[in-house]
Amino acid sequence: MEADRSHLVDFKKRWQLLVYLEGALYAFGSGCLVYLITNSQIFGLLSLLLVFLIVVVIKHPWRINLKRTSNYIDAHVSEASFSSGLLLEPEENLSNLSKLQRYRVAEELQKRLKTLTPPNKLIQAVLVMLFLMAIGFLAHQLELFNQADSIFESRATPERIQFIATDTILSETVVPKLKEQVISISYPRYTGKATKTTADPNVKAVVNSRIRWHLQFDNPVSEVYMKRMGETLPLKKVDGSYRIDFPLETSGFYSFNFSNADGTEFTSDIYALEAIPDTPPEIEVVGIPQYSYFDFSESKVLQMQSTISDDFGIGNAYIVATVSKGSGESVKFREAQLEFREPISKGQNVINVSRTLDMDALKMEVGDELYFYVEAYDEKEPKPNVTRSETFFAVIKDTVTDQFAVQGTLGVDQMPDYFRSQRQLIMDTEKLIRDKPNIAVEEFKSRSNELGFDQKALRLKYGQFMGDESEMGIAPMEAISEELGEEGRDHEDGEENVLEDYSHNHDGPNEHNLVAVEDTKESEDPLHDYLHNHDNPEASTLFEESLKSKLRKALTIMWDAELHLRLYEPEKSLPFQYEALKLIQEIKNSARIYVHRIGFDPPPIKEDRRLTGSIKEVDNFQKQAVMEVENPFEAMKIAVFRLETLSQAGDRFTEKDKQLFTDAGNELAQMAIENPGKYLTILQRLKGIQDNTQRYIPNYKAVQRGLLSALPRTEQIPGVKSGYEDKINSIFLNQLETYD
Amino acid sequence: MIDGLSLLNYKLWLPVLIGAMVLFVGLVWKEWLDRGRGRFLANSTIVFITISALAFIVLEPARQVEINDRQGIILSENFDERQKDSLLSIYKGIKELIYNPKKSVQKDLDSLTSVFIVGNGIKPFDFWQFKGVPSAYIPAIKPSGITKLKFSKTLISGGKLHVNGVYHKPIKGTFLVLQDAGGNGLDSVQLESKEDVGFLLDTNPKVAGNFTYSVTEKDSTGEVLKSDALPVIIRDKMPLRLLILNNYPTFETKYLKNFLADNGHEVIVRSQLTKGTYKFEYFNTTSIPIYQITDKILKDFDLVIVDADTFLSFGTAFKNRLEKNIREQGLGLFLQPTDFMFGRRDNQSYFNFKRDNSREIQLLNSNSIMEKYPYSIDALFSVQPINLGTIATVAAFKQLGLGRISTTMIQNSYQLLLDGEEQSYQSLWTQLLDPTAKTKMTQVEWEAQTILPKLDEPFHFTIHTNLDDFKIMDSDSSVIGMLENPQIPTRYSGTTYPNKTGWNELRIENDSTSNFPFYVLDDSSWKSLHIAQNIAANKKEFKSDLNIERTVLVDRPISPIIFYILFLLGMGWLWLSPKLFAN
Repeated sequence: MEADRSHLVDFKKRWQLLVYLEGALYAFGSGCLVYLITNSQIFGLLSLLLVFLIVVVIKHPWRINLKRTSNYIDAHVSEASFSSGLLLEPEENLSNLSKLQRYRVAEELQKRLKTLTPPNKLIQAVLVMLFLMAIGFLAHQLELFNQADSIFESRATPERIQFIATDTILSETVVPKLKEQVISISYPRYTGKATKTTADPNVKAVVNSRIRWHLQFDNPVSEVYMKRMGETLPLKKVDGSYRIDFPLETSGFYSFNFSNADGTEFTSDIYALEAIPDTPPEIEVVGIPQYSYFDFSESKVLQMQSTISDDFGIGNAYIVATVSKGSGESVKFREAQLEFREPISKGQNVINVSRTLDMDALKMEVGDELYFYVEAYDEKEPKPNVTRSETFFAVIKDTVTDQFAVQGTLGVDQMPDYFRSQRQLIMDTEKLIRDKPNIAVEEFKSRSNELGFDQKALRLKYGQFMGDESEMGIAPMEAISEELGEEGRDHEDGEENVLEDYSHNHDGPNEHNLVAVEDTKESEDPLHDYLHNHDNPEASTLFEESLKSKLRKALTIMWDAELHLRLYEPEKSLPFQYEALKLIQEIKNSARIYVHRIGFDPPPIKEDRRLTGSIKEVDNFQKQAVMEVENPFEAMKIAVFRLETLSQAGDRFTEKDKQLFTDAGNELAQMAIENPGKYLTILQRLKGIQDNTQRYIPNYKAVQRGLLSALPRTEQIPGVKSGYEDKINSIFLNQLETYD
Repeated sequence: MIDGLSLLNYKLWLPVLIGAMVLFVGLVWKEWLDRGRGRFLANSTIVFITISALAFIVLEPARQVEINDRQGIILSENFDERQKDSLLSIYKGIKELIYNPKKSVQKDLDSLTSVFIVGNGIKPFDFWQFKGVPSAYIPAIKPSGITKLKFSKTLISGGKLHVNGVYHKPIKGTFLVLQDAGGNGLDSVQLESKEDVGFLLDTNPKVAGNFTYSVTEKDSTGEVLKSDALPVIIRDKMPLRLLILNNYPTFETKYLKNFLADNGHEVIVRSQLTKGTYKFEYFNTTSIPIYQITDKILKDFDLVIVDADTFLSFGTAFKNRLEKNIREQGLGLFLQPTDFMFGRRDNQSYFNFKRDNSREIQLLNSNSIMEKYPYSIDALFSVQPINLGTIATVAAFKQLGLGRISTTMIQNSYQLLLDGEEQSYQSLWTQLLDPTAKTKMTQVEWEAQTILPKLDEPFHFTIHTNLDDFKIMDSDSSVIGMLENPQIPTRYSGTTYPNKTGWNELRIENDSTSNFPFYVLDDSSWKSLHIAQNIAANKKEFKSDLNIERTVLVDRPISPIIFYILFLLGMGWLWLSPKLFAN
């Protein structure tokens, strides 16, 4: 009996199978269509699955059960006599007549069901599939969806370095393609950034990063080299791939060139190299006003907070505080380096630090002033960037001061305080000589040496007045910062330290750090020609000739004084010191007298010629000069016009044009270095015209547009106009004049 | 009798004559065979009449008649259906003609006593066909768009390109953008919704050459509606050759000569050091000592700059020589004022000054207050003020023959440079020196009469030249015939029909220097402008209504019925007669 039933089950299975097949046909057709249109296998597969699911959901073949099967058979097979349902019933439940009928039907169906095909629309499905495939094929052939194609294409490989043959005639040669292109950027160690690998040929990295290119071609190539801002750098061949690496120092552009096996040259687009400088730390001090004044009786505490930030991590930070005592001649400075309350952990990008400054703890008294600023270093190598905050002032008010005023005709007190220190030195030296028997040899030597330093410092100060270069005045920040970064400013008692303590930047032009000290380079001073040049001792006009020689003499004597102090012979040094003191005294006096004579020094008058009125020696003077007309955009301007004619069909590109566009490209590159984002595409397109890879009208137009927008405004310059002068006009003008 | 008779199918006379002869000979020969029966002569006559009748049926003889009530309606582009229908209902039997600029309508007009023209009108180059025909023009509605346009067709480098015009019925929010040849926007204006909106766009072109700028219409969302080409020719300036004569070295001259020399001009400066001793400075030129200023030396210079002290101390002979050079050679003279120049009785400095007691002045586009002499220049008839954007005339030139003399009241203009206003300084001296400097003579001056020439339409131009024998060639090297103006013998006019769009060129044979580029637009450019101009030209050419009719002679065909009857009778007789008289 089960056998009878199994025929129905077979039929049901066949029916389901056909419905699935139908779905598969539709799915295959649409899959093909999508694949042919988009050229993408993924999209094809996706749409295949999607359509199959949709068809299956609509047709729901799983709902085909035996009951439906039997209904169908009843409807389509007359032999079934509408009794196939009996086959589904258990035999026991049936009456005898039913059993008989069931048997008969089973017999008939066994024969009939083999030939009966379940209901299907296979032919329709096959036709739809073929139709879809035909449409897809046509679309593919006619490239109807090229745009869509290019969208997918460009999304797939937007950053691949593209190579184009410079000689387009040889189109049949094998074009080697890039199989692999890896650009890795190793950031400097201190940044703490991991090496980045990218495929984007437009490289952007911190200065001093190491950039490594790794190119692999699918066909043999030779002479691969990189062109970078006029330099040609060959790539090294390692294991079949080409490599080049160098540290990134400045922004610029590069492109790759190579030849294939046939010797055809290929070139890539140009890409940007952008060097991002490491910015110095930024310091923000909050919580205190720039100037604070305290009465002696109140509590003299400043609570300061500071936020220090840096792009790659802070190396160190501290407060530099200077206490000045006294005024006028007896001003004294004391400098201290104060750590923040919080320890500075290296490498953090942003830190918040604070510090309480207690005037009493700094041993400040009435009338004393405190200057302080925050100094921060980052971890840049080899030289860290340094930033100083603005300077803050705290003053303990002194209500009893007597004002020093310069008397007489002098408007300005020209005499700096340290002019008097030679006397101090003499007194100290004499004291040292007096103390000599009572102190240890070590201490004697040390004190003598220290006096020598003081003498040296004094000499250098006077030297500055002469216009001498000071080798110790303001120590260049970056030069000293290296050791500062490591050890802070707690130096041992070396020579330099003594000097530094002595000369802590308070006598320089930026005495109180009022102006933020920047890492200034020696730039061309535009005012150079209009100023007295004090840097050059020979040109110094601070003092007139005799005064200068006197000062020079005093400096020489100070040398000797220092020498003897250094040799631990203060007795021998003393006469020199006295002599120096005498000279300085003289200088001081003459400077008071001649201070108004700074400036024009007329040449001596030759009395024998005076008032003779002879101009015999006054002669004609001739001067000839050919000025180079500066036109930094000459080639660009010509190129714009040339592109206008090239855009009009029928004009050929000549060898001369190639030179023109090369020149224009060089001019534009100068602008592009400063503004790569704006001009890079134009530069790339211009290069395309230059090396014959993009010589077509839309590109000409695009380049022309870019060049026009890059060009600056035309300057107004007078010039000759050309015109035609008619006889009638001349007659007319003459007539006008007669009636005037 | 023969007068007033004609044949409509006149052209067919020869084949008809030959056919008739053949027929005649054949039939006469047939009669000759039957001559025994007599009536040969009578039958031959009938043959002649019959065949003549047949020939006339084909040739259609006509008689001239006078008529004066045959109107026509010319339907030109964009005509209004309703206007046509009204005309058709008023004038019964009015003849409809469709105007096509590429075909002549003259033949059709001959038989019309008057015509109505509806639509955008007849192209001006077809007006001649309507001479003598009473015509009325019923204009179409002016299209929306730019209907008036004026722009600088040729410019000197550094000059400003001005485009102004009128936009008829703009859609609110429409932008007009002036774009350069590459398509960069340079200037724009947003239009209000009004009947006619005037607009002005300008820019300083950056590059010299022949360029097609464009005026683009964009809607308020920035979508380009249309773009029309604006051909502009920008010429480069040539460097000047200047002579500066100073009584003593001044800062004014020092800065001026630096400015000029830095820009490539040839400058010679002679400043007096003491009696008979000079300081010569030569920039961008060879050194020639200039003590005696002869005609030969002056001839080479475009401009002489003299301070008033030096100028007034010149002898009469030298002044005459200088003036002669100004008048005849077109030399320019710029007088640097000094206090010495003012308040003199004799009019030696060419200008009259009025005291205005103001010692300061501010120029247009400059922030600096400048010093000036407390005078202003009296603008007499021959004195042309140089506009520096000030109310008082502080600079002017005077035409003297072919040349010009100019001066300014501005003092110490180098102050601008010291204030960092380099552009203002350059602009000031360009405005002062440009009108004064000598004009370089050219052989030919071209002038386009058709402002925006179009493909296959006439381009009228005129030239001025002193040349006697010359040939004008177009881009295809074919010669264009020129028409000499009978009153002004140096003026010629010509017409060419450009056959390619874009830049075309006219030139004089064997002369490569005097080219004349002009830009030919395609049919779709400046549509509204051309239509508006066409409507205006038609309104001017034709009246708006008709009140006279002309009399025309019309060939009215003689009814062919008579010839058919003659032919039938003749043939009938020739067929019947042998049968009738057989017995």
